Amino acid sequence: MHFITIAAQNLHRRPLRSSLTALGVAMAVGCVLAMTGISRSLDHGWVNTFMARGTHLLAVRKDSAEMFTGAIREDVGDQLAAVEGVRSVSGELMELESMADDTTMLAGGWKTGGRLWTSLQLNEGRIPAEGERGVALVGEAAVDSLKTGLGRTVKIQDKPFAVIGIFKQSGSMGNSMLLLPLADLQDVMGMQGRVAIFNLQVDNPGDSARVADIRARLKTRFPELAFWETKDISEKSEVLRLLRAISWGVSTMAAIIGCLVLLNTLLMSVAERTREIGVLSALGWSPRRILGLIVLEGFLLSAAGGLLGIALGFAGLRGMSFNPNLVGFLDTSIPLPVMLQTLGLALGLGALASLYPAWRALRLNVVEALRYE
Amino acid sequence: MPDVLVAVRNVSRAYSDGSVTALDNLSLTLERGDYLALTGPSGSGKSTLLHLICGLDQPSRGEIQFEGRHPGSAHEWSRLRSRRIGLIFQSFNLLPTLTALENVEVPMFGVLPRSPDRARHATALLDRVGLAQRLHHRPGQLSGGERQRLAIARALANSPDLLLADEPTGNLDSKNSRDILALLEELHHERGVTLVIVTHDPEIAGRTRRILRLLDGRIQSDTRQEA
Ligand SMILES: Nc1ncnc2c1ncn2[C@@H]1O[C@H](COP(=O)(O)OP(=O)(O)O)[C@@H](O)[C@H]1O
Ligand SMILES: [Mg+2]
Repeated sequence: MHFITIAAQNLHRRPLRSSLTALGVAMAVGCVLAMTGISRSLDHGWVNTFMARGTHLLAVRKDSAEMFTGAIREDVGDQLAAVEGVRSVSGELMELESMADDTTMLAGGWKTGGRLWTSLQLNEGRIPAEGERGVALVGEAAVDSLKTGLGRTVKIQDKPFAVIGIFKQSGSMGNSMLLLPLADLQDVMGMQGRVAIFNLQVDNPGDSARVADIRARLKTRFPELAFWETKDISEKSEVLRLLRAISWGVSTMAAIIGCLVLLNTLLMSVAERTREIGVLSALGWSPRRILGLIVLEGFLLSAAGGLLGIALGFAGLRGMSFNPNLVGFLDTSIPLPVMLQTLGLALGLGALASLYPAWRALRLNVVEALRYE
Repeated sequence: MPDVLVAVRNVSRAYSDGSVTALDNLSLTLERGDYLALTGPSGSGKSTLLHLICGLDQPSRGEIQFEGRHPGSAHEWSRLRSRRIGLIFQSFNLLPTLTALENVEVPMFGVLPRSPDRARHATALLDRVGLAQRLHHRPGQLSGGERQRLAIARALANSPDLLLADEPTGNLDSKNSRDILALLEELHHERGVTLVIVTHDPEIAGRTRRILRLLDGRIQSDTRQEA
């Protein structure tokens, strides 16, 4: 018999309680994974979307907390383009549109004939011709939820747009967008002559000192604007920061609840095994070995819960990805390092939560415990 | 000069703010190879004395020595219980989730590091106490007599010098009582193990080499007889 057998047998003795406890830990782990998964996939979704477009720097209005809520005069773009080292400037307007059947869709407006359109990978159809109006391109991840397709229409605020192309873009965000000519989206939003951000390309994106220099000059020249590097978007965006904070908060609570469930179970288990723990002591088990047994039981419970929790986390993210408000935005994969980190956290907290019950087991009066019938 | 295994020196054990005195300034020595019956009415302090001798309980006053040394810490006492002292209880105190074989292996953790060695040794011990056919039964599937045999095998796990049995036949019928007693005596002779049996049974007490009678936490009589 191995040491672990004793711990496993003790858990096996109360199969329902042990399973429920493991399930409680699993729910906590699953919740942590799902919450961090949402915030991670939105972070990555944005960064990858702008990366895929070839955007090196983003210009936004300085005081706007979010990238697509500010308004900047469209003609500022020409002044930006005149700065030495800036290769191209593309204005962009964005809005979250509430579509038919409550689907939320991120709509982008790009100037026809501009650079951004050529960054798209087209599955079918074409990009708009210069000056073309009343047309739309749909990201392949949004086709199903919009119930549309090439040659059909999408309605934005009751105005129909002809779908002339279906595109694919890496980055979950970009892939589920709806793209319109800038002038059309300006009309829809009542923002004629305005954009929310500028996508900037620089001459030498690989040279970080050069990029920093360009950025510094841009900041001096345009004090009313903020310039973000694409890789920093998730740190800069207020919404993404808020989401991360919420996800941390909920994850922490879930982890605490998981610990309490485990703590409660182990305390009960120690309490009802008073006599057996006394016997172990009478047989010459050292306090360390007895402590090891209880901690091992907590460890086994949290390991089972952790593994089950990873499955629950997957299922949770998959389930949420079918929610019409989230469709296309969520990346349902959980990277291996994140999985291992969460599992490690569960095991660590599990061991920690078993220390108190183990300590209680050690404080036991052995003679009383043995007398107890 | 007799070979003293355990020395109890002026030991008192008081309970609940001193109003109950379980043992009162008691002294005695146990010699290696002793076979002793500890008797006395219920409440006279027999179990208390046993618990003090193996370090499960600590005296309020006085000192216990094992082989001339006073074990100063809980750790030293658990090491003694692990390797030198075997305990047998009236109510068996077996671990219900483990098989007979596993129960005997429990004390071997930390003494025999390899699992196959533990299993082999435990099998031999169970064979010795007549439970070769019951290795994989749990305590709940064994009769009272078998449970006490199992407990004896477990007490022998690390070849102790001293066996302390607190009313080992108290829960058994007379046939099983005789068998268990016979087994303990055989082990005493065959392994030279020092044996202390707490008992109310005059028949058992009549067979031992030495009878210690307690009354109200004091020694009423300590008699030796020819076996
Ligand atoms: N935990 C305790 N608290 C108070 N009194 C106790 C406790 N344990 C034992 N006693 C008392 O100590 C005395 C001796 O008990 P014990 O050693 O169990 O006697 P025996 O085993 O001879 O029947 C009894 O009077 C008993 O009531
Ligand atoms: Mg007693």
